[in-house]
Amino acid sequence: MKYEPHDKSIDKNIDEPIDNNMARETDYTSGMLSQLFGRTLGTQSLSRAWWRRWVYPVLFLLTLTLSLATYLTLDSIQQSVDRYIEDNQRALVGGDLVLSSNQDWPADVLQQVHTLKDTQIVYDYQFSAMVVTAKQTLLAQVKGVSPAYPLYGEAVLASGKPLSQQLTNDKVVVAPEVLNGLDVKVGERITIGDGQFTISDVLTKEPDRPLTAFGFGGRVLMSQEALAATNLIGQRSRVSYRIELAGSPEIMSTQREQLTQILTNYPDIKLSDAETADTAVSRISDNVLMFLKLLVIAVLLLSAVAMYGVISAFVTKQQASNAIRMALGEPLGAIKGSYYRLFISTAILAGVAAALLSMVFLQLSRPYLTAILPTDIGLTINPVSVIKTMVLALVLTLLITQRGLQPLRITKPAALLNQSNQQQDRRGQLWYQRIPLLRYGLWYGLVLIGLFGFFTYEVGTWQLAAQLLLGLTVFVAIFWALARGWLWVLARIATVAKIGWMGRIAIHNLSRKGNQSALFFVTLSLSVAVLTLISIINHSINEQFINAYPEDAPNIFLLDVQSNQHDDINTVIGAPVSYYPVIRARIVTANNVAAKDIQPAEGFDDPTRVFNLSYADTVMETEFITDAIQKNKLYAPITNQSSQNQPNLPSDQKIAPMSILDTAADMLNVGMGDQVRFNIQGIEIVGQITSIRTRYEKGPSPYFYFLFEPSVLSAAPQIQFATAHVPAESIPQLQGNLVKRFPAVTTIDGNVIAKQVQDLVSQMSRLVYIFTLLALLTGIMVLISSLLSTSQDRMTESASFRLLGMQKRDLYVLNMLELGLLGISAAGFAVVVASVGAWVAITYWFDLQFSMPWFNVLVGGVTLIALLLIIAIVYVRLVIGRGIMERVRAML
Amino acid sequence: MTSLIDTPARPKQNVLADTLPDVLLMGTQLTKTVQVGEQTLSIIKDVTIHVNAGEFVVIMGKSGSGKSTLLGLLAALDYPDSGSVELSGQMLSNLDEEALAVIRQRDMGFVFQSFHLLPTLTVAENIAFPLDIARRPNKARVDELIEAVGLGHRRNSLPNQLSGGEQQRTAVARALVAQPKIVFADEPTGNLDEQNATQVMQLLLDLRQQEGSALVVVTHDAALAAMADRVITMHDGRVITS
Repeated sequence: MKYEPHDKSIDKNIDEPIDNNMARETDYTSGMLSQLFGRTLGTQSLSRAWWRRWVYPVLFLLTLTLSLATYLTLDSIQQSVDRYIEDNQRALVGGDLVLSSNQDWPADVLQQVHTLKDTQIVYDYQFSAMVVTAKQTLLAQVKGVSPAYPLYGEAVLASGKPLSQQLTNDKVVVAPEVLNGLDVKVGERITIGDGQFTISDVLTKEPDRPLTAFGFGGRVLMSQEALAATNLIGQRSRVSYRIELAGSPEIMSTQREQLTQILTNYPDIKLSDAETADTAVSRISDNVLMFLKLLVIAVLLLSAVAMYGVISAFVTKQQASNAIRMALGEPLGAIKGSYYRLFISTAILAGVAAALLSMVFLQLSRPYLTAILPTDIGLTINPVSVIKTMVLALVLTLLITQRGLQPLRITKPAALLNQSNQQQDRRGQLWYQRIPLLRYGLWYGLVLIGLFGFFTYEVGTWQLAAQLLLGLTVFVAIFWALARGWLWVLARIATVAKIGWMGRIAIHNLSRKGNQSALFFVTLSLSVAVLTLISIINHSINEQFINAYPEDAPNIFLLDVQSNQHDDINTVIGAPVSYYPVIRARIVTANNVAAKDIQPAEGFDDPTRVFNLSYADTVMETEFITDAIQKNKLYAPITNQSSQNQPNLPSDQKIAPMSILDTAADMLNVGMGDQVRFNIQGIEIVGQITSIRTRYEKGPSPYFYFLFEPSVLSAAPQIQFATAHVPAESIPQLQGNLVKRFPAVTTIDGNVIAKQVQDLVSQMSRLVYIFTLLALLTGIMVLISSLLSTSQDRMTESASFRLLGMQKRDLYVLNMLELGLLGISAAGFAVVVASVGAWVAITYWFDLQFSMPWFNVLVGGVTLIALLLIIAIVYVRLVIGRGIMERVRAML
Repeated sequence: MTSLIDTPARPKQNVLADTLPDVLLMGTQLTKTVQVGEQTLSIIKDVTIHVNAGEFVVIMGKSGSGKSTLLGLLAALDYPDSGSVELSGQMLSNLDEEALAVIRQRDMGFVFQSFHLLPTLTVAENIAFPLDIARRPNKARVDELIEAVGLGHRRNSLPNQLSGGEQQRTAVARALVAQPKIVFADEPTGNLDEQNATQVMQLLLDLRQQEGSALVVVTHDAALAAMADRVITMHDGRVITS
């Protein structure tokens, strides 16, 4: 070999001393920047190692892409909903100002409203009624409107004709579900109450009713003038009266002032405006979408954990190359820079993949969102959401990378030498890096601040964000502590109990450094807990309303029955009918506290709403008395008729004994002997609690919060509600017969309602299932990444076991035992927690009976365990077992 | 910016370094201990050593005598517990990791027993690596050295496609590509058969001579020691002959 020495003067670097500061400020910074933005051999080497060890980037991309895609999808939906609300708020509310009431309008209100032009006013009457044809009957939502309807938005008809042309005194337009339910066509005749109408068109879009899943019955729209023919308005008290007004801001401001003044005399009339009125769509956005968003944020956090596992596993795997790069003089900053560059570019790739995946999600999700989104809402990827997602991906990656590069701190180039001393020397560290509390505290502090900022941005208020962050931290901390506790218990069991060596090693492995056992336990148990919780709630609702609907429970409900109709109704139904008088009243005071000042506990009713009072001599079959002045008696004479506490009560009116349901007593904060003052259409009565009742079981049977003696309320203005149990197949026929004889009586098929509730619950729970399954999937990613990050130790250990004569079969058993033990304990723990949570939710929130879906839990459990065992087998086959004998030979 | 790193107290000014103008590397009163469980083992005990510019020094000794640890201290791969290392009059023991990295990329070259090539870079890229991190790309220089070590036909091969001898020749070229003042070699022939070992060592010596770099080799090989300008023998963490 002939070699001529190179001319050193050509390219030799400046030959002068180097000091710490200069090195740090020039090479370190420029190294980091050039590694981030320039293409060097260091970045190439790292990039090739990353993509060649495909399992790392695949896991990283899969985890980040899935979570980003769901976030992007949900955020795009939320942005679409917000934009829809913004664009259609007036149409959704109905006008700039809306008056609503349960009674016909007082003259002075009408007089004030009439100061506007007719084109600025819509009178709107809504109620449930039976629609009848020769063959069918159907419960529908009738709406009568004045000609100016709609003030905003558009009522779209299938024919494309204007609504005013299709609504005349004997013509109605109906929603498609009414046509289908009655099996009729446009042009055919239907009967509503006493009136007969021709269906003139199909209503395909109703501007102020974009969601139909939450209402029972399709829409029948008719003109205000046509309502008279039904003969259903005058005798009803369940009509919803609305007046919608539109006009310039100045005019509306004047109207608001005038109306507010007038309405001081009418507390039951509500005045709202387009800006502040709640709509079904905004409620969905606020509740369902936000709930799903929180689930996705949780998934994002989990994916961050999985990403951390992948990054630290990869960095550990690269330690030899890192040491070589350091030994050859590449500054640590430059090496870190190459990692940042690699992970940021992979995160950008994940962001792009997430955007593409999100487009697919949006298309696929449309059928699953019908319950919560208007059909005419445009679902597209929102550019703002894309930017948010990208920022999120980058911030998340930067934070995780910062943490995941910790092994670089302990990389010593001296490790490349034979018999090297690999102990950590702190001389190369910055001052804060030498104090663990500061080093970790700084990172966790940054993460918490970042999370707080993110939560605040997502939920809108810093207070709620703080609550959520605190809740999340506490929740995870509790699960974490329990996980740690359980691992400790396992370790104790392994030392004190007689467990085989295989079991002991498996338990020992769970506590392996970097094994993330506690993290996996938390992730798996949280996601399994959410899935189980939803399953139990879903199952309980199904059991209650559908499957275990009690044999003799009422399944037909009659509204607006008159006292003189009892005999005829009994004859038509041909089965025992229970009648319940209903007197509508508002609470004035409870125990001398004004209704508006009562602070109901979370989950309770609004005390200022209208309540249904009733009267009866005996306790209902579905209830029993828990406390009474006279044992097992609803009422007891009021001995002290002092009006001291009721100064406004007319002198000739006595305080009446009253029975109260336990939940109402809780709501009003009253107990035995306390008094509640009611206003029944202007007349006040006072009831004193003489008994407290509770219900045997929650379900579809009727119940009343307040019961009085018949003598107290029988003369009050009332409607009656009736229930009966009849063969399910005879209900449609009965509905037809009843509505023909009693057009004003509305008949509801309990089975249909139950089915509708079940469909709604299924739709909602399906949505939550999908997102929770994603959380579970991310949990599995955490497991895989933790297996990867501990692979080196496991491989060395497995080689030692093989050297000592362990069979390959034993390696499989060992890993299956380890993962199985962790998975079973986490899942078992999750099921217990979820069951307790579900029991509380079902019993106290949903007022239903708890029912455990054993079959689902069993199938879910077996699937999970099978999945874990498969992961263990694949892991041993692909990672631990591969080339194990070479490692064994290398040990010799 | 003031350095906050706690550095060992600077030892007394080295008289030898001052009086010998051609001393390139000077290690003075070096000590190093390691913690093994609860026991503290002293593996380098008060060692003072120097290497002149262009000199070929061999460090010998039994396994566990502290040769490689001493090499690590001299090569600024590790910090001594006490004592100092100076290169061309510059105190290395005061510098932090980043500054030492710059010294290594500028003034030092390395050959390891296990080759330690970057597995995802080709032969040419591995050789170019020191120039690349020093921001001094020089393709002609890389090509020159590839030919010099006889790997022109293997320039695009990955390390796992090379024989042990080829890998070590690549490592030799990499060690010299940036024209370092000194090359450190830790058992450079330890993983090679006799033929390859001779070939690699001869190559290293030839190139060193042509480049004018000093060479410090840790080895058990007596034949190699016979070629050295000076042989330092270590026993139990101390230099016993020099």
